[in-house]
Amino acid sequence: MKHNFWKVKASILFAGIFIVGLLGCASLKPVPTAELQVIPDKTVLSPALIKKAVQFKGSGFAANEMVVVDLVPGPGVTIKGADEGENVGLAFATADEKGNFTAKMSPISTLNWFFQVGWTKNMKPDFKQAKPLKPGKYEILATGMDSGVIGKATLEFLTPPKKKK
Amino acid sequence: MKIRRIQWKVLLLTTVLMLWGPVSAKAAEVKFLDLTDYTGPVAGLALPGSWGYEDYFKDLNAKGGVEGVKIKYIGVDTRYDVARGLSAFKRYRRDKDIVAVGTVSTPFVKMLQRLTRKDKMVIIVTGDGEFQAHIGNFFIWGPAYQDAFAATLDWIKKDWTDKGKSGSPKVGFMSWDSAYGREPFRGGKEYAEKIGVELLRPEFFPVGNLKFDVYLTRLNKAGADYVYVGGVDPTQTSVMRDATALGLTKKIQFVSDYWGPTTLGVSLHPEALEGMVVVSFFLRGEESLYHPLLKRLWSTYRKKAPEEMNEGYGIGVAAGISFGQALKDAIKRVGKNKITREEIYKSYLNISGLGKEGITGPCAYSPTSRRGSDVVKFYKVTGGKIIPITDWIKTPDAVALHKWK
Repeated sequence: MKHNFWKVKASILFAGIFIVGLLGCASLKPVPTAELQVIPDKTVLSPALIKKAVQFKGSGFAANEMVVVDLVPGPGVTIKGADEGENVGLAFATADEKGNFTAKMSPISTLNWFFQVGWTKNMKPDFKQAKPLKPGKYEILATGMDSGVIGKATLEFLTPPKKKK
Repeated sequence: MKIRRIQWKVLLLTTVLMLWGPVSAKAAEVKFLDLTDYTGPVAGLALPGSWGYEDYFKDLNAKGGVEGVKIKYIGVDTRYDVARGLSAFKRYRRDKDIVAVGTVSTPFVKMLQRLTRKDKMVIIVTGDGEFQAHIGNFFIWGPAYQDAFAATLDWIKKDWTDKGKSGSPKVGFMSWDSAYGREPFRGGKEYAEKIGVELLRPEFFPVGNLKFDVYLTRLNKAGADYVYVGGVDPTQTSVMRDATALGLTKKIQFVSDYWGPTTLGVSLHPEALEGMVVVSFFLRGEESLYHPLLKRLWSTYRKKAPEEMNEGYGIGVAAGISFGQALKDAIKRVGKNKITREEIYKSYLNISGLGKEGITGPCAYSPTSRRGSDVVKFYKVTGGKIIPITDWIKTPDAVALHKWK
């Protein structure tokens, strides 16, 4: 009787582990990868980027899907309006039939996320409140909104050259 | 043999229990995601509305929630940036406890449309008539922009006649050069033709533009008797400042769309704004500031005097009332453990006629309507205050007049 009781208990435990394992394995499936290029991938953070914006090119996404490009804030990096560690969207585009895309940052995105400006009531950027991203390497991710495919690259902000005296 | 049968039954029961139900085990809470602008170009409009949502939900939760189910408000600052909004949506999209989404940005919503075509998830949007023309999962705050413009054209025609004038008034239009700014013409133009009002060539200007002399001078030369002004304040205040300087406010009646001056804005620029008419689907002026529910929520959760309230707060509270009622309906239909996005969507179609404490007109959502309400009021800036000059007026269906693609 005691032996059968333990058999039943073992069955319950086994069933639970089996099912949790099934569900867990589904979440461990590797996410397909895509290619991503940042242009330029090294630059000094300057107002020139508002007019000549950073671009992103990618391949390996699903045909005609929307692709969103994010900046991954590194440790200690604070992004205005975002939670700590939260990725922020820099650009988006629709992939073509072959799964390729090109996206360019809008002036608002460059001002919001690279310069982190404030905004006046007249909807003008307020550079007095700006907290630009510091020089360093930042991970960039492009994610297919339907496929979940991810492309990775790096954008490096270079230390501005010292002004000659 | 008997033990083996028990073992199989146990295995079966465990499997069923593990796979039970589409929602999380925490059935006592649902989440509302608000993709809004706490900072950025339209924060002056968006932030008070978001406070309205947040405070209304806090108040519901303080009373035990809706039939015991609490609402967690998640606010994300999108800074009027479409990429940011899409990224945030991507982050939260798979959280099944999020049963509805609030938004403020028209360009962002146009992109969301493409992503959520097959989703039965309620997404609350500002005022584009497109969402009424193409019935789906996008629900407008109130009457569509073109409906409000059409109601304004009716008001103009009546005002013209009341002033003893004959013939037909000439109506100018000026607004942001954006999807939102141009939306009133998609149906509004057709309505003007229908009622015999002459619409002048519209003037569209860049978002953030500060000087309007050029546009105003052209409209004046074209013979405008009335000018409808779109944009988010301080656009309207800047327009009136320039119109006053040009002496135009004596001969042209200016009417602002929904997003024109608030009581706070009028208090800062009373002379410039004097005489401006505002069309609104939500209460303005003292009707809003001293509304019992709005006043109580504002003072309880914002801890500020009513005079500091931005009337946009009422939009969020009214939309929160709709969500709360939809949740109640869903709980009644399927039980609190089976609340999903799809069930909330179905419930939004069941709350037609819901009173929103008079903050806006009654709810007009239904299987054939995505309008949050279908009435507007007209106000006028008088002596530094925003005073009502009409009661609630039913808006024409201007959306139906446009040939939608």
